[in-house]
Amino acid sequence: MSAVAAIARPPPSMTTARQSRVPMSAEPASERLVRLPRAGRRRQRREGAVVRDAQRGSADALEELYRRHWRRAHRAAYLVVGDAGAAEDIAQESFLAAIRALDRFDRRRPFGPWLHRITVNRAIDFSRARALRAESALSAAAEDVAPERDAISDELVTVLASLGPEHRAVIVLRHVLEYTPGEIAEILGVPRGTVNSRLRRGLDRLRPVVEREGS
Amino acid sequence: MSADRELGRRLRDIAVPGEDEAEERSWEIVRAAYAERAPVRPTNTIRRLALALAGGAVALAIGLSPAGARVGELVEDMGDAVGIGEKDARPALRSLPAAGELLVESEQGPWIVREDGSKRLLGEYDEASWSPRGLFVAVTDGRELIAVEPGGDVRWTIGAPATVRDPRWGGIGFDTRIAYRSGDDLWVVAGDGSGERRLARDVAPAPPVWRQPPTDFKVDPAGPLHVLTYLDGEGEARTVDADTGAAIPTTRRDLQLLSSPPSGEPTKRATSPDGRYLAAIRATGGRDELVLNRHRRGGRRVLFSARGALSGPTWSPDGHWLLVGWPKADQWLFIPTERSGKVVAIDDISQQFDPGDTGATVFPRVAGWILPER
Repeated sequence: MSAVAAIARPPPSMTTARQSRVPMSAEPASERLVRLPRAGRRRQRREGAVVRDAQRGSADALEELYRRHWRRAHRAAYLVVGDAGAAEDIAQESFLAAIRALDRFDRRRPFGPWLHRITVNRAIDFSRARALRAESALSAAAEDVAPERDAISDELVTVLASLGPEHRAVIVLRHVLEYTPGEIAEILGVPRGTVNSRLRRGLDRLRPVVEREGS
Repeated sequence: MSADRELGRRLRDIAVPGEDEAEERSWEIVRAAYAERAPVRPTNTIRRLALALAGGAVALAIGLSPAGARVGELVEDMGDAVGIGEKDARPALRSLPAAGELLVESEQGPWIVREDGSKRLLGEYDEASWSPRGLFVAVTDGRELIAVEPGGDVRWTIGAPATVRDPRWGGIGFDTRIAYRSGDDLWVVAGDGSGERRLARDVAPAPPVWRQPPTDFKVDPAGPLHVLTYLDGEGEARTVDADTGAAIPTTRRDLQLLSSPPSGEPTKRATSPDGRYLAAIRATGGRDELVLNRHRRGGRRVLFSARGALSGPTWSPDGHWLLVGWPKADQWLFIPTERSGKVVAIDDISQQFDPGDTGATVFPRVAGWILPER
C-alpha cells in the first residue's frame, strides 16, 4: 500500500451544473470589493454576553434568556407530550436545570440547543413514563382549556399524538425548532440514520394532513 | 410552498393552551430559583493567591517525560489543580516571539494580536479564519459568513441556510476560496463573497482543510487550484476540487492536515509553514506531549510535556516557534522548535481575552498566526 490513500468513492453531490473551472475571483483586493450593508445585524445583544451576565448574577440577563427561549421550549415540550400542564412543568424544570448548570456552560455555544436538549429529552422521558402508567396523551390533553384552532391544526395534533414520543421529538426538533438531522442526532444521542428513518415515518403520517389542505 | 415547509409552519403556529399564563408562572419560579443561586466568583485572584502560597513550598518537575523534553513545571495543587503552570510565566502578552499577527477566538469574539502584543477585538463574532495573505478575516455570526478587514470594517456578508461553522480560507495569491459548514452541508464561496455553492451534503461536524500550495508557488496550471479535504458523514476523508467538485485522491499529507482525522491519529496537529514538519499533541497517561515529526526523513522529538491537556499547536510564520495553549494552567506557551531557546509562558490568558469578566471564562483558541502582506 503506498503512502497515498486513494479514495475510490464517487464525487459528492453538487448543487450546480457548472463543472468547468470558473475563475471565482480573488481574495478581495480592496479596490475590487463592494461594501454590502449589514442589514439586520446586531438586532439582539449577543447571546454569549447575555449568558455571561446571567452567570455573573444579572437577573435582567436571565430574563432576557428566558424570554428568548421559553416559548419555543414550551411549544416543543407540548408537541411531544400533548399535555399543556406537563409541558409547562417540563419547560420550567428544564430552565431550572439550566440555571443549576449555568456556571459550567460554555458561552461560545448557543444556549438554545443546550436547553432544547434538556427539554426534549425530559419530554420523551415523561411520555414514556406516562405510557407505562397507561395514561393517554390525548385524554390528558382533553383536560386542557381548548384554544381556538382550525381543523388542520387539530388534526395535526391528533396525528402527532398517535406517533411514539421518539418520533414526535424528531419531528418537533426538525420542523418546529429547525435543527438539521445531524444536530438532532447529537441532541438525542442516536445515529443520524435513526433520525432520518423517524423523520420519514413521521412525515408519512403528517404530510397528508397538510397536503389535503392544499388540494 | 413545499409540504414540509408548510408542515413546519403549521406546527409552529399551533396554539398551546394557556401559553401566556404558563410563561409568567414559570418565570416567577425560575426567577426565585435564580435569586437563590450564588454567582460565580472571580477565579484569577484566587489562582494567583494560591500560587503565591504554594509556590515557595512545592515546586516540582515531573520526571516521567521523555529525555530531552521540556517539562511543564508544577506548583502543586491546592485541592483543585489551581497551581499548575510554567514558572516564571509573564503576567501579560507584551510581544510575540516572532513576526506576524495572531488571530484568536475568545468569549467576546475574535481578536487580532499584533507583534507588539497589542490586540484588537474584531467584533462580536463566533469563529474566524485568516485569508491566505492576512489581508482579511472570515468570521461567522449565526447564519452569516462575513469578511472583515483586520481593522474591523465589514467587506461583505452572505447568508447561509443554517448556522455557519468552521470557516477555512484557502487559496493562492488573490484567487482564494472560503470553505465552511452550514447545517450538515459543506459550502464554498470565492474570496470576494461571490459564487457560493454547496459542495457536499451530510458531512461530519469537523473543519475542512485546504491542501497547502507548493512552497515554491510553482502551481501546475492543469491541476486543481483549490483542493479541499473533509470528512463525510461516515467519518471517511474525501478530497475534491472545490471548483468542479471532482473527486481527487486523498494524500497522506491531506489526512495529516485534518484536525479531526478519521481514526487513530492525534487530533491536534499542524504542518510547518515550509511543509517539512508536523507538530502534534498526543495524550499519554494524563499528560499531553507536543511532538515534532519530520515529514520525509522520519524521526520525532518531544518538545514539551504537560500535565493535563494542551491545545493547538500553531506554527509561527517563520517556523521557529510553536504556540500551544495549556487551559488547566490558563497559560499560552511559545515553544522554540530548535533545541536551544527557552519556553515563553504567558499567564492569565482567559482573562486577557475576556477583559472585564470575573467568572469562569472560556479558554481562547488560536485560529492562526500569519505574516500579513500589507
